[in-house]
Amino acid sequence: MNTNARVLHATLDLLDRQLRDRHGVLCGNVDDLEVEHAEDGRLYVTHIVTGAGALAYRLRRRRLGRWLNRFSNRMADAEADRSMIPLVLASQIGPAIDLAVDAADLPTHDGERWARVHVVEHIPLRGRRARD
Amino acid sequence: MRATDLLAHHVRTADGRSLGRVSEFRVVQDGPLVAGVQNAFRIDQLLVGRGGLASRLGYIRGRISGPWLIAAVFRGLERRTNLVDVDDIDRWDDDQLLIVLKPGARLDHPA
Repeated sequence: MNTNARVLHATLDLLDRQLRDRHGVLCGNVDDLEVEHAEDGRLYVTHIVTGAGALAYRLRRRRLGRWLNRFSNRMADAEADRSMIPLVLASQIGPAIDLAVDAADLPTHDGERWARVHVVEHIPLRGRRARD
Repeated sequence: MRATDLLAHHVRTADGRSLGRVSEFRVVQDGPLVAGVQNAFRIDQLLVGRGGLASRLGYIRGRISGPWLIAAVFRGLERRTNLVDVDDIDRWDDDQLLIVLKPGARLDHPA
């Protein structure tokens, strides 16, 4: 092992940590991690998984988790799985994890966005904040 | 595979002795360079057995030492925990959530 390499314990240092986007906006938590078997036979943690679907999957509601994930991606018209953030985009890992992505690209606030576009904006006499 | 699935695996030695469930895993950032940005995060050790709570509270490898009474309880829990090197894994069975170690695999205890 390279002695200068960063060493982390997954459940202690990564899982449930707060995520912040490139502008410092809070954008969810680390709900799970994606682990892959590489061709060299080794195991690598490749992605942070976030969003309601990932949390449901972790809480052993796997069917619900997969459904929520599909629903979230469909709402955003996204082809790629938006709940997966490459771990190499984590610019800093500490009490919070800073990401080199925009919060709008993540599924964390999909429910709020959907409600704003499809419900709140159609309410007559809605306030200025709803339009914004 | 998700970390949730990895943490659900049970570990057995080559002679069939059960060591318990994976409760934590250690990640080292010394893998190949990914997209020219950072090194990949390689899993190098599994913590197996009843030390999950201790590790989640930071009572592992002496990171937190007090209050002394709680630290003593968790040190006792850690003694029942085994550190398994990933290179000592012989077989993964993701359907049965089972990891079988190679004969002669070294079992360490968290210090």
